[in-house]
Amino acid sequence: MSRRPVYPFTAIVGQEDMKDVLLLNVVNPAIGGVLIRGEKGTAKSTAVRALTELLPAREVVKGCPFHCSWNDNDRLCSSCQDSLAKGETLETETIPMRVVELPLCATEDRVAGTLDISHAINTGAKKFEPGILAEANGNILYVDEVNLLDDHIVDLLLDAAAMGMNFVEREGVSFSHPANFILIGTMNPEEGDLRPQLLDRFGLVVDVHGERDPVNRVDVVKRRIDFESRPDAFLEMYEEDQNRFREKLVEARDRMGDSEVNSEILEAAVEISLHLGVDGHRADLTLVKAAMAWAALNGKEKAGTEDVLKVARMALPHRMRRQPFEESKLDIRELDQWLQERFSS
Amino acid sequence: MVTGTIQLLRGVYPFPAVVGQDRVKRALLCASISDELKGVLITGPAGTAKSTVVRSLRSVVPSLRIKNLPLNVSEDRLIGGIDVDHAIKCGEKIFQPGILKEVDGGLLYMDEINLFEDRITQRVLDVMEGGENRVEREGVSGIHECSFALVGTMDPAEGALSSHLLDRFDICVEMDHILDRDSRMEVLRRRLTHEADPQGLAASHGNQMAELIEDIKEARERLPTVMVPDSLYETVSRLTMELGVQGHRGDLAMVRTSKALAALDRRDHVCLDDLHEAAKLCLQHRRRDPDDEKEEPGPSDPPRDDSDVPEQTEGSEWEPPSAPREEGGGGSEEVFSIGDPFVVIDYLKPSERRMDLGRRRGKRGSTGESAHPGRCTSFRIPRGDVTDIALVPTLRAAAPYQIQRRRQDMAIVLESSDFREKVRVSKNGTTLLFLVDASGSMGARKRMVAVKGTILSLLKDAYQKRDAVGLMAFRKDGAELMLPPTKSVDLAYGRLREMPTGGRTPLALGLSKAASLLSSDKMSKDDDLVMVIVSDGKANVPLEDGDAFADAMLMAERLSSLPIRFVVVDTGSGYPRIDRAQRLSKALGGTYFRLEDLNSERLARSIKMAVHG
Repeated sequence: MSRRPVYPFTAIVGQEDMKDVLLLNVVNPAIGGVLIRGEKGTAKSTAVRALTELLPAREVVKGCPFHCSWNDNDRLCSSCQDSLAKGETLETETIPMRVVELPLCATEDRVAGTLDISHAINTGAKKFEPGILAEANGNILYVDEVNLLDDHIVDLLLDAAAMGMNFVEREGVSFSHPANFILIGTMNPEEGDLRPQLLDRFGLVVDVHGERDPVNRVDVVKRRIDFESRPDAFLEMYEEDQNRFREKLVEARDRMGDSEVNSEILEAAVEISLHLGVDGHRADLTLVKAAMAWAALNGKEKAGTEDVLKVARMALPHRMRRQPFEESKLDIRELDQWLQERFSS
Repeated sequence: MVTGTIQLLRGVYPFPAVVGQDRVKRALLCASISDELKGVLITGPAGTAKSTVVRSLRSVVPSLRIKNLPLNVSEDRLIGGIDVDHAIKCGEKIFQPGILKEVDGGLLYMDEINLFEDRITQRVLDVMEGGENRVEREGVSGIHECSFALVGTMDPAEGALSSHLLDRFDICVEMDHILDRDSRMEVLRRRLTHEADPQGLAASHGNQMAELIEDIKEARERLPTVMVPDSLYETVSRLTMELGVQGHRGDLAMVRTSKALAALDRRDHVCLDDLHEAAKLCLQHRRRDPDDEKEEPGPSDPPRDDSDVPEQTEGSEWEPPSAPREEGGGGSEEVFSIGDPFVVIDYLKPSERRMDLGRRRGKRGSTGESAHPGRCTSFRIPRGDVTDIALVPTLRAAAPYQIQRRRQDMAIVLESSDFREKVRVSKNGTTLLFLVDASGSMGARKRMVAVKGTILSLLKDAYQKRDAVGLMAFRKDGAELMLPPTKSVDLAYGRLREMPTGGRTPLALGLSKAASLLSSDKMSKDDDLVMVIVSDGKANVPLEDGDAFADAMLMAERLSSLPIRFVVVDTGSGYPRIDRAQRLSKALGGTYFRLEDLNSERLARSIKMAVHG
């Protein structure tokens, strides 16, 4: 299969906030994905697809169709579990992490996986045919227009996201496999809301707008045309940038792995979520994780309050309201002001 | 069989490491030491560690098998069905048990229990209570004993569990909101430690876990010997009666829970404190609304005085006839606030209390079956031509006969008697268009406040059922689409708030515009279309010249043939009631409600009054 050229991440003009949240997730996948809100044609999809080129490689069980993580015994698919139970050793291979897209029209059986009909007819035996959730394991799951997703598909996503596993109990098939993915969604808020439960599953959120600076706007168009007319030359031009960027990310991931949680950021995170009156603890957790990733991305060994403040506007806007129809308790500007007053000393 | 049951020992969050949540923990411990206690429901907002605490139970009850029931479970896997492999190989039909067999003696966990299909939840609860699973399907019968504890978790914001399902749970507890700074930091610290170094966290709670494991073992042994003093039985029934608990499930659950609590506290006798604690666990979800209670003593009591919501129960019929309202095109325009929302009755299902005026079958939520859209939930033997074949059930039906049939080159031979078709249920295909009368008459006596409150309640209902909603208002000389049908109820809320009131009532025009919107190509053909008309029916702007109400009636008759369901909410108040809205509803072939009847609490109250007094 010939691969279509992917527009390089480093060639995207502006949209710094969106790039930041995406990179934070690459540095620390535990942040839990990102929801990108904004109008059409603001490079949302381009940016997500461009991430592919910057993603790290990962070690998985060789030959496993679900790409079970080799070092995560808690989350193995039914067949890898069986192999382990039989005392077999699992071999490993290294594969690149990638972006898996979930199209809006996907049906339940294709998302969760189903009975392999041809296998059933030919051999009379039941076999599980993996779906998109299987493909997404260990990868990025990208849903364009996530707010238009059918309700029962959303339920499947929530179910899988809750445990990082996909359980299928349908049509005589009983199977489970890991479905641990970074969820990235885009939406245009005018076309409908997202269920609060799904909203809460997104670690970070970012609002994007079209580029307003005329010079940049010209740049956007020029580069796009350049890329489309001579993709190879364009990619070559950015190769060096891309490589440098990749290195930076690898370093940041290493630094992230070494860093430790400190009381300063815990305290700041709790203080903020208490002020907002959020019930759950996901906001606090995301603040801490994202702050550490931000510090790592900027070459800092230890995250501090200022890093929590930086990520607060990404981790909180979608969590500031508890119930549908309840008026926002705070708007983001008020929050900014409060943060400054509270933490200026 | 181990498939599906994942081995999570290493990754299990240590039960004692869950910060706070004492009531939830006690409830789970009770259920894990007592085989008599079966259903535990835990409610709370997203991200409050509901699933974590349930799954962590394994760390202190190592022998416990937890089976996770996925949301999209199919009935054949849940209860069992024909053994296909055996059928093909031996030409025999034998029963192959499903998840309910696997979970026998263990714990069944239903996360987001309020989002499951009702049939599935109902079935699980039936089997849990009856202690056996009896299956008659696909030409096989099977029966097996089945004893398990059910734990469900849910976020009430995503929709409620109906009260008859709720009542089946012995225990229902709400997650505590942890608002104390130090505790919150501890939650974070432990969670992060668990993610980075699960063994480390488990080790630091090792002693506590070991102790708890011992305690649980001891309590299990002690439980059969725990006595309940006779006097306390009386206290139980007094308590349940005082709280207005219906049925006896509450009493039983209380006794069983208090015994478990006593056993956990190493006592051989149940004491009053146990009862108090048990009441908090077992009765919260069974008590009737406290407001309801107040009405209980005398049906003749005047209705509560809510200045915002004009009363229209039987009690207020003596109200003097309302003064004629100014109905000119008058410039007075006002934006009313939104009245208090309430829980709406199931107004789109043909209600048993009323004559069912709709010729079209209701298919709200998941009750309807339609030609093709929607997800397949079940299958049946086709009537007539098969257009929507259910492949897997068809193969299952054909399996036992493969040995006898001449297969020749074919892998499998199907005969027409094998065919099964899909039963589809469309869950989110409802579009509601609210056609709201915003004329001057609605502003009288702040009627609009109550109307807006009602619409808000209907919107909330629409959100939980995931309907698309649109908002159209008619007043003065036109009808304005304030919000095209969208899934964003937040937007609808905003528009509703801003909706001005004042002017005359072009009812016929409003009907016509709303109908043409719903019949336009933009609407999905597969959607269930509902027009909710909120008006008192007092039309005073004709389409051209003539009688405005006659125009509206004519229009209504014309619309009645459209594939749209109509619901008329009569906002009229005062006495004598003007029956225009009712006549309109009849002409539309719709369902008619009075504004007040939509409030589930109030409705219950007025029924009670009608029955008793």
